[in-house]
Order: sequence, then structure tokens, then C-alpha cells
Amino acid sequence: MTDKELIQGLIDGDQQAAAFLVNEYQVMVYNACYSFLHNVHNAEDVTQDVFIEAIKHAGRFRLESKISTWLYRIAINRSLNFIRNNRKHRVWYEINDFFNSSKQSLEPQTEADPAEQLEQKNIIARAIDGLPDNQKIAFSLNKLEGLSYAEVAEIMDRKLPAVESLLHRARLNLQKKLKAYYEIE
Amino acid sequence: MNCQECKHIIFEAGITELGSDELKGRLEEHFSRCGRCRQFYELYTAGMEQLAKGRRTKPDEQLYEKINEKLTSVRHKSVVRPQIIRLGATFSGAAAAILTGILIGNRLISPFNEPLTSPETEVTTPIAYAADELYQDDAFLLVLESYLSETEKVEE
Repeated sequence: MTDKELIQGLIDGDQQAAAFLVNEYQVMVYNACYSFLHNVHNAEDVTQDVFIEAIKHAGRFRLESKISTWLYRIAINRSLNFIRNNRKHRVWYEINDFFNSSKQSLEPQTEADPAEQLEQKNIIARAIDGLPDNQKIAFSLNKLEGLSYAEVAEIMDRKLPAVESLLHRARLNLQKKLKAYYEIE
Repeated sequence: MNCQECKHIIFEAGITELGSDELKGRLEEHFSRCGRCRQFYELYTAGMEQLAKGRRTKPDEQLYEKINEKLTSVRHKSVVRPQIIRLGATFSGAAAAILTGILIGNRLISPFNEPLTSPETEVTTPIAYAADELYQDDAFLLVLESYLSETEKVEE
């Protein structure tokens, strides 16, 4: 099934076309959502919403890009909106950050127990979450999704140098956020 | 390789490259001299692997059914339940809650207030009991009402 046929099928309300879209792209959409949300249940919910939006508004897709690009865009928007609307998520991270920063300054490099090890692993997730949205999108798509700079540029509707600059700034910001973990002996 | 170059390589690597032997081989020489960079590499790799833990490689076969159910319920809701009904339910719920609050409040306060019936109106004799029962009987009240209205007409 070509992209054009698929979109036409969705516009016509063809169930087979909708099932094909979901089965073909669900892993990609789910993983993209998970990159931003870091939570299986939330990623599943947002994935469903992404496909509902795609099926309901297939007529708005003008076939100027690949279907995967279009779905990535919806997935990113939906995930970022979910984070913005879900204040609990935000507050929880902020509280965690507060306690961790004080804990970190007191006892930075001790022998870690399993809970602490898990906490240390989450440091990277929090550092990425703390990036500005555009840097977070570019970083997640390139480093977690494994997309090339050109693909990231297409999804973000930016020029290649702009994406390179976003990724450079994302790396610098991450270095700043994680400074405490590589500068303390 | 110095620490700055090592960090650059770590941050430049994607999730698939981080744990690869090729990258480890490139950094091993520096790690043999620098424990801090090794420790950071391990922390960063573990963190990125943690992020990748919930990722999927296989599709969920039930997903389309779930989406279809949601789509149907969304369509159904938008047709059957207009916004105003939902608002009405919210307001009537709030009103019911307020009324219940007032009733419960009255119940709590009433023991400290004056009794509702004064001692004079309390029924004490058998005749009074009978009269009271008659007043509570609907049929009797109807008869009484028609008698009074007829009397009024006659007087006129």
C-alpha cells in the first residue's frame, strides 16, 4: 500500500487502512513517545491518541512528507503537551531534583545500593527532561531514536545547520547539568 | 586523548553506539589512566540504557482494537452527550452536595436549638390523638375542604 492509497483509505473511513497504519507504525510512534515520557503506560496512552488524531484528521495530511515524519510530529506534539498538562509529573521531577541536588552535594560518590543505582540511572533522564523543548526533541530523535541529522531536520521542519546547532547546545547543557558527576573525584 | 575529548565522544554517541565494543575500545586507553571518565561513561551508559528499557521492538497486536474502541466511544460521546448535559450534571451535583451539607448541618445543630414542637401543641389526650390522625387522613381533608367551600357558597 502506498502512502497515497493509505491516506485515501483513512479519509474514506476504510478500517483496513487504519489497521495497516497502526500495525505498520506503532513501534515507531510508541518509542518516540517513550523517549519523551519515560513511562510505559503514558507512552501507550499517548500512542493511542496519536493514531486517533492521525485517523480522524488524515484529510489534513498533504503528502508533502513521509507518513512517518507526519506521525513523528504528532507524537512529539502529543508527548510534549502531555508533559505540560500533567503537572504532577512536573512537580514530582522538581521535588526529586530538589532532594537529589541536596543529597548529591552531601554525598556524591559513595558505594551505591540498588535504589541509589536506579536513582543514578534516572539522573540522565532528568537531565534530558530539563533541556529546552527544541533541544530535547533534537537530542531524543538523534540519540535515542537513532535518526540522522537530515531526518531530524525534516521532522522539526528546520534547516540542517539549525539542527546541528540545537544538538550542540543540547550537549553543552547536558554537560553543565551532569558536571557534578564527572568533576568530583 | 584528554578528558574533554573523551566527554565529547560520550555525548556524541547515540544509544546504540554507547555500549558497543568499538566505542569502548576507543575509550579504553583513556579509561586506563582516568577513573573519573570511566565512572562517568558507566553512569551515562547506564542512564541511556535505562531510558531504552521500555522501548519496544514488537508491535502490540491489541493496539488497533483499543484505538478502534476509543474512536467509537469518542464518536458516541460527541453525538449522545452534548456539552450542556455534562455541565448540568456538574451543577446539579454541586447543588445536591450543598443541600446535603445544609441538611446535615441542621441535624447537627438542632439538638442545641429549641424543640420544633412546643409543649402546648403536644398531643396528650385520646381525643386529641384521634383528631391528629383525622388531620393526617387525605380523604378527611378533602371532605372538610369541600364542606367549607360549600358553606362559603351558601353564605354568599
